[in-house]
Amino acid sequence: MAILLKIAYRNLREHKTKTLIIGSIIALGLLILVVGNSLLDTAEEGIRKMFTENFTGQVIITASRNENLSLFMGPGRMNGEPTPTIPEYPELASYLDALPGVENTVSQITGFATADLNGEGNAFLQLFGVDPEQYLEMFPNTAEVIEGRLLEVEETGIVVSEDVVEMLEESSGRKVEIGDKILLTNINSVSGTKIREIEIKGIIRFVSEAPNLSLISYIDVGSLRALSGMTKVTDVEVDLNREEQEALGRVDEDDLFGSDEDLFADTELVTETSTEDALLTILGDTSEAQAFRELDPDGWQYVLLKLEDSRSPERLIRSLNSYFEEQELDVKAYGWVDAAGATAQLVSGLKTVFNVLILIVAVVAIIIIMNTLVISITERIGEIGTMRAIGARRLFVRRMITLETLMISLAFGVIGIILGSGIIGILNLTGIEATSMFLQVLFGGSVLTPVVSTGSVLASLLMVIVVGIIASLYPVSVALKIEPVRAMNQR
Amino acid sequence: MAIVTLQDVHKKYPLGKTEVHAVKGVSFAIEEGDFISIAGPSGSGKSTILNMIGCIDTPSEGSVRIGGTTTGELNDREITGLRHRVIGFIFQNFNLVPVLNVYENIEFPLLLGKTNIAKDERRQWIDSLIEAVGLREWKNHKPNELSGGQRQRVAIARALVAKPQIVLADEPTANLDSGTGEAIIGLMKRMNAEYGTTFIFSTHDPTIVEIADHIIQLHDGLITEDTRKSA
Repeated sequence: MAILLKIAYRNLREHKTKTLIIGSIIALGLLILVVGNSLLDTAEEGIRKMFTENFTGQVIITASRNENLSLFMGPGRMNGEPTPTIPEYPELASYLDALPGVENTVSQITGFATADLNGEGNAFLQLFGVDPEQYLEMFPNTAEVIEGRLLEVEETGIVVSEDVVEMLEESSGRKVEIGDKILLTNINSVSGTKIREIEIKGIIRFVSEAPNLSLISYIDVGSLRALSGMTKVTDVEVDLNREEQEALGRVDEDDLFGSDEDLFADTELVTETSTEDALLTILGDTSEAQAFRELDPDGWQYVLLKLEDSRSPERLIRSLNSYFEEQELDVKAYGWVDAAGATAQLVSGLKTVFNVLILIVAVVAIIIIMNTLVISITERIGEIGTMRAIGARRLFVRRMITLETLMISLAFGVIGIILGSGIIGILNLTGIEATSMFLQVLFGGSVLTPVVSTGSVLASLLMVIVVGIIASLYPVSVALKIEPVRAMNQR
Repeated sequence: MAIVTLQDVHKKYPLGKTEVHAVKGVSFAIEEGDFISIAGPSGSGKSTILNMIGCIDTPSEGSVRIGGTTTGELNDREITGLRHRVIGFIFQNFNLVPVLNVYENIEFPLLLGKTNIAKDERRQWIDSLIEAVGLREWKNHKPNELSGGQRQRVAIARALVAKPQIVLADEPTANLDSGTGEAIIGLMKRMNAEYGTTFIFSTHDPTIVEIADHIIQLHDGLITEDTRKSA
């Protein structure tokens, strides 16, 4: 092995130009990899922290048939379909409360509404319906109150964000005060249009600013349930007896309205007895129907979990989902990325694009390294033939070429990593400030403070080894075809 | 006792659409400890025969036996092992490993296989070979810092280091001036006498041919003369 290392090292030193060409490509590739990974990791970590510590927790649980996993605005939310509620919520809540490893849980409803300020101004709101006490306990630093106060338990009202206030003030031309009442309107395809008047109790500013979070306002659960039409009726199936089914089956439009006869010719439509009370009694006893229109006190769309160990929620998600399956509960657990929606997926998207670029760079590097090595081997036919002639086995030649490639890959790979880490260090010292909300999300704060993780360095080294081995495969096969007789023919 | 036996050996090479019959039925035997010259003009088949004895080429017909083993029956691994144990090579172009110095080049064959020689013993043996070929002062020099004659001396020491039974030298003096060439052959002769190693070398230089004890003259792939000088 010592002789192989000696030959490999001296060959690389001897052929400086070739070594530098291959080495520069490797070093540059690794530099890009380290810097890129560091920036993306920083963005990912920043976004993860921002969402998990302020809005989503590490795990969310929602109804299996819920297709809108994100708690925030997004294309899936704008189709007017209401988000389904969690079935058998009380059982689920008590199970989750007793679950080991869970630090906190909070239940939530998400909704949207347009807000109207006395017909003078309007704004679009994203509404989070939560229990204020539970929510504050789980996310104590999400927002700061800049006017008024937060909602109290079972209090009706709304706490709007600074941006919503700004929109309302801009469109109305007057200052929004605590105590102002706004009309919230929500339309969905099941419950139709719902309007509620609600009082502004406070104005908040979010600590972590991000484009799609600024319109969030916190509203009491009852009001949001009413706005979203979350009544008990949505979950009731009516069993009709045979007679009722037959009666409904016979209904035909022509039977009802097909006759030429004027049904109301002899009827006085308005009589002295047509008072409101009298009209309300026409349908007889409607108490059962009223009960169905009552708001569902257990109507929740999401349960958010904050874990004691925030690093690996995947295991808990898996075990929760198997438990739900076993218990035949129609709910499912997901990670924070699903709950965070488009912003978190933006980083995953950027990572994918970056990895594709790295793959392209790797392929180009492999081709260049491979060609340079083949040229080098062609120049060393006599040397390799001599080695074979004086007793070197094919394995020796294979090891010699592979070792040379690995040595150059690792040496220049480490140089690339050091340079990349240096650039990250300079970025840290410079302290580049985020000039937009988008950059703030990507930087994971107001100043870019990227770090190089050990995992990223090890992954980069592994990649350079794989690139080196792949790049050496063809040159090795060329070297192995060199017969010892070529040593004799070397003139 | 014959250490090398060639029996009706033919060698044909494809050359484009034609075939070159380089060796046309050659038979001879080489005794252990011989200092033998295979002589003849260019294209007479000298190098081809040497390659077949060195197990780096195989005959198209006939057989080559080295120390009782028919080389055609061995696989690549066995052939490599045989070359490593039994044969040493000296090339016309010296073929030293350019990145290794004199000492390392000589040591190189010993590092290719398992060796029972202790490190100190190995160092002494290599140093004695360096001394024997007169390169003590040049021990740490790379091949590109040496003259042609010095490089061939390194090649001789490298060929002998694994204590092979046979050393094959393909035109070892072809790239050297006549004085240096004679000195190299003289050195080989001395090594042959000192270590009892069989030396087989090819040459077309009549003055060098005469130094050999056993001369095989070739012409157009056939033996024209097989002369053994009496002691």
